[in-house]
Amino acid sequence: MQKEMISMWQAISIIVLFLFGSTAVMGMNSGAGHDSWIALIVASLFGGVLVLVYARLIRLLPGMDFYDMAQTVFGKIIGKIIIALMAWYAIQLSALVLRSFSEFIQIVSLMETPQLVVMVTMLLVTGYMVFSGIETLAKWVMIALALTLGIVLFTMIISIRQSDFSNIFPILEHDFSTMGKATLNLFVFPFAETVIFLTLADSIKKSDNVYKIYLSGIFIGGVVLLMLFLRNVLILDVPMQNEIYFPSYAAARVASIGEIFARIEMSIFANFVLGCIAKLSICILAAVKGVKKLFGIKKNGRTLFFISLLILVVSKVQFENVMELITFSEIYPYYAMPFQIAIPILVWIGAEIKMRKKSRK
Amino acid sequence: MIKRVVSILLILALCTLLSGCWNYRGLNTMSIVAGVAIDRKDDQNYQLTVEVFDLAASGKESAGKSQIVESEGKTIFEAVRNAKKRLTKKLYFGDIQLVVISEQIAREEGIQDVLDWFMRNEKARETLSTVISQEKTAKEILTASGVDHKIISEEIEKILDADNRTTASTKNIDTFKALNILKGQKETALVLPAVHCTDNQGKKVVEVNGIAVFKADKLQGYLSPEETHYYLFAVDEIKGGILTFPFEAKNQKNQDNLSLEISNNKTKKSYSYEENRLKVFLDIKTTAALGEVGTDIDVSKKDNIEKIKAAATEVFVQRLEAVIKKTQTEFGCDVFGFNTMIHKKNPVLWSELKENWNFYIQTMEVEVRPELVIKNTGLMK
Repeated sequence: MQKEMISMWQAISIIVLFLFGSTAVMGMNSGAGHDSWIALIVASLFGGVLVLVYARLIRLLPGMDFYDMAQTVFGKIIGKIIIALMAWYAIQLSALVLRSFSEFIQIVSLMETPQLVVMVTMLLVTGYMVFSGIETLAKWVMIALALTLGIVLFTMIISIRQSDFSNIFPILEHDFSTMGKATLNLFVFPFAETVIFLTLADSIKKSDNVYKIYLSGIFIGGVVLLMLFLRNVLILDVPMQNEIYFPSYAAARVASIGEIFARIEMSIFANFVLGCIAKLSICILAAVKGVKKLFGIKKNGRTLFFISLLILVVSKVQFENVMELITFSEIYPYYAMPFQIAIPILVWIGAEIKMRKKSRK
Repeated sequence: MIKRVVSILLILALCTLLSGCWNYRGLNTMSIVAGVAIDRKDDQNYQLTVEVFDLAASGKESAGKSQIVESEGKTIFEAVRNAKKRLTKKLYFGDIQLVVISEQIAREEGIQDVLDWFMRNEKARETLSTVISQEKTAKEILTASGVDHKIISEEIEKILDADNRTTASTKNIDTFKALNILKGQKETALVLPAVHCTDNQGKKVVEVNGIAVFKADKLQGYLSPEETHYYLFAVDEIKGGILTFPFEAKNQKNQDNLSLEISNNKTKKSYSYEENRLKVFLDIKTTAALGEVGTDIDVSKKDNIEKIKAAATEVFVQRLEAVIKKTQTEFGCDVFGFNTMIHKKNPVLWSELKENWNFYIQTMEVEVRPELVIKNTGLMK
């Protein structure tokens, strides 16, 4: 099978849509209220630093995805353990995204449709996407991103009339520890989740500047999320933003210009669907790759099927209801950090040492 | 060839099957709610009066009629469901525009719990208006007859919507913003429009009548339409309205005989805090047209205009200060939202003043610095 390659802009689009994915509708409730935009900017700066590590890793061992890198650096046994851990993280992330997506659909509009139906339909779509390979995925993501950004711009223009610009004041009212916690939350979800992209690193052309890809992705994604957050807070103001589960949706309901451009919340739906498909496809692709490497499977289809089933089961089993999902997102930073930071940094240090040894020879 | 046929058939089949939903809800099985009135029936139950768009009766001739449905229940949600016991169709709240709450509920229980269901429900709009009924029950508001609209909820909502541009006698507020104030800015006193019934050609019609002032979420008192007019100046929400004032020439009874039509207004709030006393400055710049001159005076002469301006400004300041005094003594809470002014500009100072905010409101001095520009006097001199 010929190696599939994606261009630089495709890679950047994938990162941006991935960042946008589920954050946009779940909202960026970070506990810092109206100062969350500052936390968002700081978190994206930290994200920028972290992706420098990722990009360096890709530079050191080009043409390999994260699983191969782990095995090259640490040898087969420890490498396989790392592969298993990262693949598990990809599965967990998919399950989270899938669950929040189906909860959103069920709570907000299709109350009588069983969640299972929504999840299965989603998995069928993403399964087909993954089956078609990363090139198809990349091409689709570019179109989806254009649509998504168009909708974001549209909703922002319509929201101007309802925005109250004094809602951001007073700036920096919260104390350092609240802001710190908020920054941590926003850093882990969504910026540090770009670690998944490491597993697709073998599709990046060697001639492309990986640093540029990663940093542009984080920057553009950060800007879009910032605009979204400002739109939400300027319309809704903090108390409602904290209480509502899905602030973007509520903001879109309020925004209107006259009677014609009212009730635009369906566009938020479209955004969420597109973002979720993208995020899910990437996570499932990462998981499938990992499992294939782990067990030495060559065929694509069957692994995909079983991984999708596994994600479905995990999705259903992990929470009983939406409230538990929200509670989980409070401890999620501590759970995710080993996967997002510790393991990549370990592999990076190992790779640096190995490269030094090699160049000394 | 066969492949093509099969793929086209498949596409058609998929489009038909996948573009559907799990189930459907036909329009003829839904009763679209326009407005709800909430009363307390007895110790246990709420009584809901729901105004529903009457789709069967409205056609080409009539603009739209409404039906009234009553129901009871221990909570709002239960009352809404109980309505199904006497309706063939289920109530659909997607288009609801108005919630009327009776004075009794507002005084005794508070409105926050009552409004909870409307916000939690995924169908009801956050931008619906909440009003307080000054009649004995909220039901009387919805069962009155409208002057030019048969559907009372829509009529009230449209009156409220256009109000600050035309009569400036009440304040319209989206319900989610009201809840923001109740949950977030606890120091601001919530104000909601107040509605009552009056007589119009023998029929009872609905009229907006000033605002209702709350402390936390319980009703405290009302401001009359005229007082609300001046209140709106202080919070910078005037976009229109008429200011009347008396002018001395030939005016023995000191009646208001001149009318200024406000076309534009900008109020800038600022404050100074010294020695534990708060002083608020209101810089009010108004552009108005002299719409009615009920006395014999040549308004094309500059001196007369200056005299009129002076008289108008004096009366304005007097009345505004009277309203502010009234809110300070009678309500003792921050009706004007001055706390946000301090909070947003100087959070450090705000955290000091926060605990005793009501004390500062009651002892604050307000200085009004108005500036009036009269741009024209209509068609005549």
